[in-house]
Amino acid sequence: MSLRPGVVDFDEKWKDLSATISAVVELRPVKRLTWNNNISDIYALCAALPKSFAEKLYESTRSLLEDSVTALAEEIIVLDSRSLFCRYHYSWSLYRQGAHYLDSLFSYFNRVHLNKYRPQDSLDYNVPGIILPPTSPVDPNAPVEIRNMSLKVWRTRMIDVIEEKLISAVINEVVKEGNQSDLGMAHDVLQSFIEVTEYDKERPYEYYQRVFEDVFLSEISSIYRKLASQLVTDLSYPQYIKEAVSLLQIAKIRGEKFLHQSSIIKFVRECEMKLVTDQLQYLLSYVPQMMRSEQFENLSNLFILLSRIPKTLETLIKEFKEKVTNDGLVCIKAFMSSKQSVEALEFMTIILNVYSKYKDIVFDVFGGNKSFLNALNEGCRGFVNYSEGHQQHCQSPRLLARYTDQLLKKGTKGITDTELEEKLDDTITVFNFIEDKDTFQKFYSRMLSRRLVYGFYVSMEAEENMVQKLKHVCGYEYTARLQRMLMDITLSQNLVTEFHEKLKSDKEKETISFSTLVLQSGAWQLSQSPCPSIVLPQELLTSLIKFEGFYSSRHCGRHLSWLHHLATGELKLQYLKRSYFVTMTTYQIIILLLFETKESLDLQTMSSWTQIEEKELKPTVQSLVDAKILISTGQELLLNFNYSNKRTKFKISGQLQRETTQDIEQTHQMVLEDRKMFIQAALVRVMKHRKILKHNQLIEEVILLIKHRFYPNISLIKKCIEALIDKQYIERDAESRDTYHYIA
Amino acid sequence: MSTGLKVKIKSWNGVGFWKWMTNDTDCGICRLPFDGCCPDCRIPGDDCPIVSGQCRHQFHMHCILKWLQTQQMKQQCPMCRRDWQFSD
Repeated sequence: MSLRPGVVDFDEKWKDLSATISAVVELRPVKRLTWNNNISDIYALCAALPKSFAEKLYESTRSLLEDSVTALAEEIIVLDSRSLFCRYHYSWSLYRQGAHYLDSLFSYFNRVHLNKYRPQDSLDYNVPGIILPPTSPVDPNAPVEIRNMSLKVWRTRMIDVIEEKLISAVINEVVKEGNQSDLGMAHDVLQSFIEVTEYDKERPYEYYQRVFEDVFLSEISSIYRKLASQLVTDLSYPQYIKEAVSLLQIAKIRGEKFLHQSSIIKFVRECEMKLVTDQLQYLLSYVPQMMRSEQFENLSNLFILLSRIPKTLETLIKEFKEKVTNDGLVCIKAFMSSKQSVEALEFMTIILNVYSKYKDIVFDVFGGNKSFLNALNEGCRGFVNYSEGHQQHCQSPRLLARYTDQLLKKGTKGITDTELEEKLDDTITVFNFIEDKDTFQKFYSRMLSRRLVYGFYVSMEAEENMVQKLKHVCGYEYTARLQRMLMDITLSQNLVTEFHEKLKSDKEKETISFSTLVLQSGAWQLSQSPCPSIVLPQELLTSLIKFEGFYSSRHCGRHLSWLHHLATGELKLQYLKRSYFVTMTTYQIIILLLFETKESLDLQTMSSWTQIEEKELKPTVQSLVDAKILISTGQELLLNFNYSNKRTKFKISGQLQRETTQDIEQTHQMVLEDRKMFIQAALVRVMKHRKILKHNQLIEEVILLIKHRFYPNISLIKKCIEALIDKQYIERDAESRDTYHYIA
Repeated sequence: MSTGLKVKIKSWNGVGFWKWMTNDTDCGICRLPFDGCCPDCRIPGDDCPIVSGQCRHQFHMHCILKWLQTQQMKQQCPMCRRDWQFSD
């Protein structure tokens, strides 16, 4: 054949060509030779002289396709729903393939002829940085690629014609319990709505949405509305939520199989709307009852339903929180009333049991949802801070401190480091719930100072660890004092080591093994020595003086005082049948050593010799009598030379080491005093910043500042305001009495 | 006179505490107790010592140094306005 353009007879060529086109769109076989000839014919027609037949070819092709699709549509539209659905699916799958082949048949036409209609400035390349002028709107009737033209024909002559019947057929197929292949077919059908407008790059889904999606969603809406109201009447509540969960699951899975991606979420939302949102009142009405009777399976189903809809979980969260609090309160109250003295360990066990029970529920029933975890914490706060009666102190901070004390004290049987770590973490869990963090701090530091001073602590690592954990929750300020206490112990140990090295290098011999703590007075809550001028045994005094000399050479400008009532020593008793090593308090040592010069002594002599005041002396002597080291005759005291003990190494406890109810009360009192200072400081800070403030606003701001430490009661704040007025930090406004002014 | 009582102190664990030897309880500049440290330090001890002037007034060392730096003309004690001299 010749590529040279020449005169062509359109009708002759068209005869062959139209046969091929009709065959291709129905995917009927076409001979290779015919196909090749047709390609040449299209070239010849386009390149024809004197005038190209391209436009005529395009129009003829279009009307051929239009006629054939119209005929097909007429055939399809009369079918029943199921057949219509299948037939459409079948015809479409042939046609779309055919359109594709047609496009390649017309590739010369597409490539060369259509160039005329393309706007010149919208070439296929874009130079970055150069903004092209807006293209003139494309004429909607301008010729387009043959494939797109074919698809457009399908749209206008097929879909637009049978639309209504087709859509309802699709809905029929997907709503009924159709099998997988039906869903697949539905998917293809829906895909046809998109494909026929795909060339419209600006609004690719508009047609799909208009023709199908809108109709579909409103149909779904009415189907599920009917379904929901029927299920509510037919089923029991638990059955309903269970059914709703599974319906929504199925809807999602099926939706994914047939819908276009952009519609899946809309479809599922529509189902949720009808099954959950519209039934919200009904769904929520059973929450309190289910919570009370712990119907966790139902609650779990309800959670699954509600968690799909924003802002519907509130009721569930609130009821859950109350459930935790109520459950905890029942346990705590029963426990408190059954005991005379409340055991820290049992107390902790109860709290942790409630906590872990509901923590499991948060994860098993409520999917580990964050709001439920918060509600759990809130709920725990609700019962952990319970106090009997309005005036009573809440017991929890003290009991928690006591529990921690028991963990960190020597003598906890067989507990590994990991177990200890876990238990310390438990205490932090509970610590987070406690409102009166200051009360805990006070008790904790008291107990810590006992552990450290008497050397009861298991290990410094464990102590450091716990303080770090507290710091993590409450910040540096909160644990500063505790850290200083720990540091003092380390410093003291180093100091004593250096002291011994010094003695060694001076070749001085030590008669007793001397060790001491040197504490920084500001950090510790230590009671002053009740009898500052007691007479120490000579050998002790010698060591003490040496140490004092060493200390003042090391640290200038410091004054060192002794707290002998806290000191202990070990004695070797050699006057009995066996030798015994006995650890006792310094006071006990002093008393016992008096018997080196006298066989019997009365209290008065003891007091005048030792300078120990009577109120300290009496219990000290009594403790030695109780330990059977001394014998009391009523007036005088004698050594017990018949003393025997199975153990050769033992300890006589002093009276200082036990916590009494007075101690507890005293500590609470100290907390109260600290609170007053803290509130006053907060008040001044707020007033200094604001200058003028109304009473209620002031109270609000102050609470905000201090609630991380403790939850203050309003009357205490009022008292503090009065105190500041007395101290002339602030004054009342002369006219409105509920307004305060800051006095600079 | 001795009863021949054989008792020997083997070891002793003392408890002592220290304070700065000061005339006053609080620092006149920062108003914080000498028991603690100056506002810029975190831990009381030799890193934050107390110093006195020849006028016998005492301050946290960091506080008085900061004060002296702000004084352009004369180096005076903030309490008594006498010329500041560190006592030995």
